This record gives sequence, structure tokens and C-alpha cells, in this order.
Amino acid sequence: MQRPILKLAGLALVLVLSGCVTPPQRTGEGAAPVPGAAREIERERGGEQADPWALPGAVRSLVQRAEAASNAGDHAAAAAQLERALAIVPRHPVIWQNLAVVRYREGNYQQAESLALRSNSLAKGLPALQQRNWTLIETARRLSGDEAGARKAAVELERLGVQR
Amino acid sequence: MAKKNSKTRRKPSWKRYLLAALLLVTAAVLTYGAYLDWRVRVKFEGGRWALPARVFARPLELYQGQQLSAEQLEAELAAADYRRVTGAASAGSYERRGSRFLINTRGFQFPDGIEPAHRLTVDIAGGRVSALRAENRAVDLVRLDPALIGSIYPAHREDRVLVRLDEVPALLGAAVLAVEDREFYHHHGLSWSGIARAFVANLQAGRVVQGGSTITQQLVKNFYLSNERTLWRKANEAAMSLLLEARFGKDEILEAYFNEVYLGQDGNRSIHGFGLASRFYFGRPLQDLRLHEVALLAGLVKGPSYYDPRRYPDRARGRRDVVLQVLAEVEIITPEQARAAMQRPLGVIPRGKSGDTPYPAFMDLVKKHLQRDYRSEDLSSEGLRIFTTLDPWVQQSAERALATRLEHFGNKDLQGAVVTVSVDDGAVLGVVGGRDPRFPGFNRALEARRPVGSLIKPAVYLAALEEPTRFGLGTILQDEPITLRDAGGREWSPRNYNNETYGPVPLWQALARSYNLSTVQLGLDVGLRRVVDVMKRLGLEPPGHIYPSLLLGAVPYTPLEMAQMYHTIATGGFRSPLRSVRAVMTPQGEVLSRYPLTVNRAFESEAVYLLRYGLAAAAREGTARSVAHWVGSLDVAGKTGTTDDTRDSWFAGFTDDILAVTWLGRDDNGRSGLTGASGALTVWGELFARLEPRPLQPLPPEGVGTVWVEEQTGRLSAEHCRGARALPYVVAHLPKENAPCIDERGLIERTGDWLRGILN
Repeated sequence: MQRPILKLAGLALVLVLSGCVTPPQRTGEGAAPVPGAAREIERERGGEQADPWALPGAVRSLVQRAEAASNAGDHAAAAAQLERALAIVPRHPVIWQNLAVVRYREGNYQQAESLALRSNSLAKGLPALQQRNWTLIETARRLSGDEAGARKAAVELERLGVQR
Repeated sequence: MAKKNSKTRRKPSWKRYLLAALLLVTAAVLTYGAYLDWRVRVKFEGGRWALPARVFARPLELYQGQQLSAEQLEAELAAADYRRVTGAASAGSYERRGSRFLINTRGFQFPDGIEPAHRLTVDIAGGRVSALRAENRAVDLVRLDPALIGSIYPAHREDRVLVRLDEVPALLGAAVLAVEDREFYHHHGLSWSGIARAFVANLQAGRVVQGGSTITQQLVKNFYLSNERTLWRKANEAAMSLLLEARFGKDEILEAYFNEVYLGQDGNRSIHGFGLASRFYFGRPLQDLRLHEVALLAGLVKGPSYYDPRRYPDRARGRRDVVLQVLAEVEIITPEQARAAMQRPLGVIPRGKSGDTPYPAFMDLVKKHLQRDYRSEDLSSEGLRIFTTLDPWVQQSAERALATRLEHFGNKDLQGAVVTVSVDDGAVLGVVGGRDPRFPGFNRALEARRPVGSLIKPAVYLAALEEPTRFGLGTILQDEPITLRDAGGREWSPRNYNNETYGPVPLWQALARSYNLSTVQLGLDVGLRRVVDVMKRLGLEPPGHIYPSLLLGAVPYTPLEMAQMYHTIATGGFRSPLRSVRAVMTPQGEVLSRYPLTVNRAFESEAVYLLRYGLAAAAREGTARSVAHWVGSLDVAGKTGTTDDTRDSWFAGFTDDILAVTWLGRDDNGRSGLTGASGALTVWGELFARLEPRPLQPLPPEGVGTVWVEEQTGRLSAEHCRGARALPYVVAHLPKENAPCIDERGLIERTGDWLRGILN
């Protein structure tokens, strides 16, 4: 049931693993599922109860299509599928984050940053997700030459307890 | 000799002349033939027709658990031209059994792929989709084909919906051949036996029931030639028919004919081809038509104006029945089928639905957005498919809300506009541009620039709340008379709505109750320049001249521009350009442009969160509190606006998911007698009462917490203190002073401690 979140979180994590200077077009190659990411979210939300962040089947299939399109390099199509998903779960921070990752892969760092900020505005109580967003923001800012902004993002990451 | 010579010379010379003349004639005939051949080929092979762009509403996505009422689903199906039929056997039809819908969808090509046709079963329970099945298997998600909401026509307004031969119902093809050209597949462009047969048939019937021209001739006539009835034209027609047949296959010719044939007139728009005729007369795609409808279309070929089913239903019916009879005679249908079909009414829809758009105000916005990237020739000739954000249910609800309230006010001169936007992605869901939503004239939602009054105030308060070191929701403002003098020495003395002054008031209350004097004081304190900067970041075009009266909205904007401003607030400070178009696609399915969701963080989320608290307070206990009359206890945020002498009545309000800006006023700028609350707010209320929106539930940002503040002084207070109110505050910038009572332990709290002690 949690696989799509996991894959999506995986998308974002690729970014973390591949470091700050990876050209966006190459990041698709490692979009393997990363076990644990979904469970983190589940744990954060007190996994024993019905998970308020669980994605409905309709959204899961849209996210899978988005992931396939993104991996094929068709960012526009991936974003279009994620927009359909957002129409169903408009306040789901993971979908916003996925949209940010798609824009990052496309090389659109300004949108990647804004979308990750939007995701964070909805990610209260989800530190693992916030961390991924700040990592993406830091990288996007650095790649678009905003060093001061990148340092601010790094401060946020430290606040979240990330070891640098 | 000389004679002989001259004779011998004369003889060949005469022959030579003849030969030369013959050669010349042959050359001329050949040249002319080649010319005709060239004309036949060029037009037939090239882009045959200028095709208007087709504009679609957003498709209805169906999924388990979706909020959807049966009434809404029926409205969506009607908008997409679905027919309610028992059994729902054909594509584009549905059956409703209580809360269960059987829907036979049409396949559709979207910019992101093909959605195949489905046989759906949709169960609705408690205003939600409780079960969704396609082909009897549970499915997660399906899309209906979207409603066609209009077309963008070329200047000469020749219109058609292209169909491929394999999309033409076999019955229609058979019917057209049976009445127009039975020998079509056997002749070479001209048919003597056809002419003879038509002659005999007409003689027998005592009137003209069949035409003598072959389908090829008819196509040539429509395609290449003028309407004059001369022998020369007839000869050209025959020659070009033979050439067309020699050059192209029967099926190609037939397909062109099906798309070219003239079938009616809609004002200055001529209806060509069966694809469009089907929409024009029946409001449905060709593939959906039934026998009696197919027969009528086939019959219309003979004389679309003489047999116009709307103007001369009896003639049309007679013609249809003749076609049905012919079909039975040639044994394409049985006599029983023919008789049954003859019993059916014509089934023609009233004019208008298929013609120009039912939503002209929204179409204006679509055209305005597309103008940035497309030339108008391309929009009207390339057959582009334009996928918009229009939500038929929201649009219709907005139209009804405005109509209901205008009827209530009863003032014929009163006009109105409504713009509705999806909060989450900035998609424009509906636009109403005036009291007659079908009238494609002055579009007040996009074109009426009117002073916005208090609708501008959130910009002033946001500018203040962006400085948390200086301002919080509990900060005391002075609501006192003020007189300003501009460079020219003119004085400006703003007043409150009821001419009172309120003295010291907390900031949130000044906003919620829309006090003018304290707002001006605050705006001047923050600085006009900063207020204008905030307006820009909210998405507004800044005013050309900056006067203090700007703080009270003496600055004109359109309802659409106000929707942009409030959208940035509703999202928590993320600005997205409002969109009406999602994608543009060629008829072949190639996506030319996408207009994706873009966001820009324009404000820190803390400041916007505090502002939204003030706007929610306005709706709960301030100038917009009458909104409860419409939406009950639903949490909403909103702001009223009234300009001088009630010339403009404004309301901008939003829930978690939907934002709408409403305006009422008169085109002559006269007094309407309506305030924002008594006028525009009621339109908004009527709309939101129909929409079942999600209640406002803002997530406080990390840096915001709730504290108790003394209302009178703005000092930090505590729950047990008198006159304390819980207000969200930026935690790092709480009020610096403490109220004296904060250190005293309240009696209630001590009792609470004592109780806890006993229980433990």
C-alpha cells in the first residue's frame, strides 16, 4: 500500500545521494525504490492508526505514470500527471515534493525551489520529508547561483538535525 | 508553274492551318485539362479545410471516495452531451437508477494519452463515489470525455468537425449513397444510369426525391466551383469529376464529401460536413446517432434550408421518412425498423447549444491567454484542441447564483460578475461576465475596471504583518480622524463607513471590521511604497500614481485581477498566474503547448497566515459575518468592499479549496444602493452554498503559535485574564510587555490544579 510514496520519496532521495552537482538529466537513472522512506513517514504519523497520508489508488496510479514519464525524460508529461494527482489530494506534501523533483530534473531550479517550499508548508510534523525538501532547495539554489539562499537552507537542515 | 506552285503551296497551307488549329485546340484542351487536374489535386491533397480550434472543459475525473453528488454528475454528463437512455447501450449515453449510474463513455484523446471508451458503473452514496467499475471490474480512476464548450472560428465562419470515413456510421454512409448516388462505387464520376434512375424515381413520386448528380459531381461543385448555373460550369464539373475519380480512390472522395457537404446555416456560420451537422442538430457526435437521426441528416443533403428541421419540421419529417423508406426498399434496414424510426420525433435540439459557446465570458479569457502564444489565424484554421480549466458545475453554479441574487434585487440596471478559481492550482473554474451569461458582449469580469474599496486592505495589513517586530494581530492601532494634504494643497479626510471613530483597536479587528481611519494610519506608518510593493507581489499591476487614498481602495481593478490578488493570499503566500488553458494539441495528437502549474513564493508563510486569521475573523465576526446565513458554520475567509455612495459592491472570499470574487454595480457607474455585504457577498454566499467546499483549515507555520493577548492594550496576557483573546503570533516576536494579571494565578486554574491533585 505504501509503495508509491516509497518510490516517490525514492525520487527525491536520488537527488540527495547523487549530490549537488549532478546534471538533472542524469538523475533519472537511480530512481530505484529506497526502502525505509515510506516507513519513516508512517512512523512519524503513528503508523498503527489509519495513515492520514495514505494515497488513494487513483493517486497511486497517477504517481506511477508520472514516475515512468519522468524516468523517460518527459518532464512535461510527468508534471501533468502529478497535477491530476494534486486535484485529488491537493494538500498532500509528497505530491508537491514530487512536482518539485520533476522540475529539478528538468533543470527548472526556480520552480523546484518554490514547489519544495510549498511542500514544506504542508509538511508540518514530517521531518523526513522536510529534510528532503530542504536538501532539494539547497541544491536548487546553489545550482541557480543563490549561495546565500543555499546557506539558509543548510541552516534549516541543521535545525532538523541533519549531520553535514 | 507559279500558279501550280502557288496551288501546291496553298493546299498544304490550308491543311497546315487546320492542323495548327487542331494542335492549338488540343494544346488548349490539354493545358486546360492539366490546369483542372492541378486544381483538383492541389486542393484535394493540401489542407482541404480551415478548421476552427475546439475548446474543451476540464474532464471529469471519477475515482473512489470522490466528493460528487448525483445532481452534479448529471450536470456534468449533460454538459458533455450525454443522453439519458435506458440501458445506455451506445457511446455517449447513460442510465440512472437511483444513486447508480451506468455510463457508456466515448473514447477520447487527451494531451497525456488516449482514454479508451468504457462501460462504467458509478455508485453515489452520501455525496461521494462509493464504487467505481469499468467493464464490471473495480477501477481506481477514469476520465470522462470533456464537454466541448466552444470553437474559435475563422473570419468567413465556415465550420466543420472533421470525421474519418471509419468514424461515419455505416448506416449514414448507406443512407447517403441510397438517396444521392446508388452507383457511386461503380461509376467513373458521372452516371447516366443514375440520372435515368433519378428521372424515373422523381417521375413516379411526382416530385424530386433523387438528384441526378453523382456524389463526385456534388463534391466538385462544392469544392471548386461557384454557384452559377451555366453550361460551361457544368462541363467543368463533369471534367473535374472524371479527373478526381482518375486521381483518387472512392473512399477518399467519399470521406471528403462527408466533410464538405453543406448541411445548414447558423447565423453567419455555415454548417459543413456530417460531423458538425450532428452536433448542430442533435448536440452529439456523429457516432452516437440513431437510425431516425441518421436518416434526417442524409435527407438534408438535398436542401438544408428547404428541409431545415427547426424552421420546417413537417417538411424535414417528410424527407426523413422518404429516406427511411428508401433504406427499407434497398434492404439496408427492415420495414419494421423503418416504421419504428418513422414514429420517432425529429429529436433536434434547440439552436444555440452547438453554435457559439455557452460560456462567452470564459472563452474571452481563453482567447486572451492564448493570444500570447498563438496567432488568431492558427487558432481558427488549424483545428487545434484546447484543453481548458473550466469546471461546468462551478460555472453553472456561479451563473445561477448571480441570476438568483439579481432577481432578488430586482434592479434591471444592476450588473454583476463572478470569477471562481481553484485555490490549489490557480485554475480558473468559471467566469460570469454579466447578468446574461450567454451574451457575448461586455465582459465585466475581465474588462470592468472599478475602484475596489476595502478589497485592497489586506495588502496594507500584509505589509504591516511582514514586520513582526513592529506589528502583530494584537497591536493597538488608533482609529482617529486624520487629514492629509497632497502636493497641490488638496485635503483628504477619510471617514469610517458610518462616520464614527473607534479609538484604540487591535489590528485584527480593524481589518475584520474594515475600519478606514485605523487602516490609513497603519498604511502611512508602514509606508505607501511598501504597500505598493506588497500589491505587486500579490500579483497586481501597481497603480500609475500613488496617493494615500490607495489605502482605501481608490484604485481600479477588474474582478479577475482581484481574484489573482486573493489567490496569493488563499495559498498562503504562493503566487501562481491564474490559468484558463492547460494544453494545446494538434488534431493529430501532438501537444504544442502546456501551461503547467507554476508557483512563486511571494511572502513568508507566517505573515500570510496571520493575515488569513484576520480575514477569517471578518467572516466570523466582522463585516462579512452575514456569510453564515449562506454557509452556516463552514469556516471561510473573506473581505467586503463598498465604494463611494454604493457604486461598487465587492466581495472576495475563499475556503480551503475554492476562491471567488464577486462584483455588483451599474455600467453607468450609478449608485446601486448595495454595500459589499448586502450585495456581492450574497452572490458569493449563494454560490458557495451550492458548491460544498472544504472548510478553511490553515496549517499554522512552524514559527507561529497561539498566545493570549490583552485586547485593550495589546500586551501579552493569559487565558484566565479578563479581556484576553487567543491570537496566533510569530513566536519569536511576541508582545514585549506583559499584562499585570499574567503573573496572578486565576481562581479557575487553581481549582483545576486542585482537581488534578485529587484525581492523581
